[in-house]
Amino acid sequence: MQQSEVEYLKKSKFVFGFALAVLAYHFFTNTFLSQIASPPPPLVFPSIDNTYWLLLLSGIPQLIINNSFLLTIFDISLISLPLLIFVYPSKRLLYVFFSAFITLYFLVFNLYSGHHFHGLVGLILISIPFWVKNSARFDMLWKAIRYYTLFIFTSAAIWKIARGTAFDFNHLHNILQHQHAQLLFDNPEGWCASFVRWLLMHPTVCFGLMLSAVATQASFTVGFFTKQIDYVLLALLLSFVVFNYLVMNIVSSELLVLGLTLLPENFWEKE
Amino acid sequence: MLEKKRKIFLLDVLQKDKLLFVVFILFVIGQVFFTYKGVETFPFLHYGMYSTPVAKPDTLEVTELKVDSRGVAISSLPDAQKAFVESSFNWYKSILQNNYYDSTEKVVRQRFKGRLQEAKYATVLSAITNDSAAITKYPKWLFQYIADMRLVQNANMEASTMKVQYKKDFSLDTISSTQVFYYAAE
Repeated sequence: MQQSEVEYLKKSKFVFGFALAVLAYHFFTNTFLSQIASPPPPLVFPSIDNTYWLLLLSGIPQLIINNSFLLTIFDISLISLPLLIFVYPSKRLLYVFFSAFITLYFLVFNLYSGHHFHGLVGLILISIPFWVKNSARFDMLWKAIRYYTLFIFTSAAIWKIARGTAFDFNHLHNILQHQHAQLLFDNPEGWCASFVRWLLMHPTVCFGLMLSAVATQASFTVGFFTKQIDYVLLALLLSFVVFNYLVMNIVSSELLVLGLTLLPENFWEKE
Repeated sequence: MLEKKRKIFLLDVLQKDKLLFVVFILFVIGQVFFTYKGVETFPFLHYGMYSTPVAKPDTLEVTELKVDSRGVAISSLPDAQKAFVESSFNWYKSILQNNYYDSTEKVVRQRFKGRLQEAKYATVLSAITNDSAAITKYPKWLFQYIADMRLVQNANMEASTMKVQYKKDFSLDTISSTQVFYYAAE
């Protein structure tokens, strides 16, 4: 087996093992399309995104969401494709189908949820390199996904700095008041609510967390110039996901799949 | 100098794979264009991650859901389901507060009114926006989605918006309550 093939297969196992975990999470949180569509959700939210407009004009989401047979086929296909990839990792067509199905799931879910969530973008993008047979092209696409990962966090830092919110003492404190009002209303005695109240009573801690978040995101800029600190960036990505959950109560673990592009090349060389 | 240039990713791609280079450049152009326009068009997304300035809230709105007179804590739902319920309910509520008017309609009108034939315009409008028939179906959908896993004796649901305010210790004070809908299954 050629070295490039060893790397391809190992990356495939990691990426699509992660995909299975993400899909299991969506199944157990009742957010597969067949679970949200009995009866079909009636309201669409394309916002002003042209892709969602085109999708609605194509009639595809309406066709899927209103047909229980198609919904079942869709969900079974979505969960079967990563499993089939495990069995036949060299079949490029399976990867193409997976990208198509996960993209459609992402778009339809967002269309009916009333908000355009970004979490699944990582899985969509990282599945693309596996379409190609040429190992050099696969490598370049994999590297491009690494740059996209850097872009996500670098742009988040730039936006905060450009809008002046990175250094606004009250910014996170104000966000937390909005973000956790429902939690404090639903379950005011729980430990989560106690922690949130403690944070709100300590605005300096909030400001410190805000600066740490901006510094974490800004650190990804270094990755554009060197791969030497990719291990550090991977650790920062993990810490971002953990703190995003603890402080903001936002699950962003789906983005962790992009962290695979930060692992060193010699990690993928061994079988 | 040449050695240094080779290390730049895009130049490396240009040398090895011209087709891929074109794809990457088109993606970068698309990303820059939509960032400049300040809108998202998948796959050109915006990652502000809470960068927009947020004012200190005087009062806030939270949601109270009751199925068969028993409270359903939205924040206790599994995360993905919570996100789906919370955001779809907020979208429904904003349409109701707008007198059953879907604000997307305004953008459709700006982009297509007068540029498409009337029949085509009506098709576009009905595909992209929510009409009153769709809006009135939402309570039933929410009930089915939430009540599905619960042992409900009386199939009814009440949704209310509670206006709340933070106290000094950052617990919440309820100021008022407004019923958004009451649904009872036939």
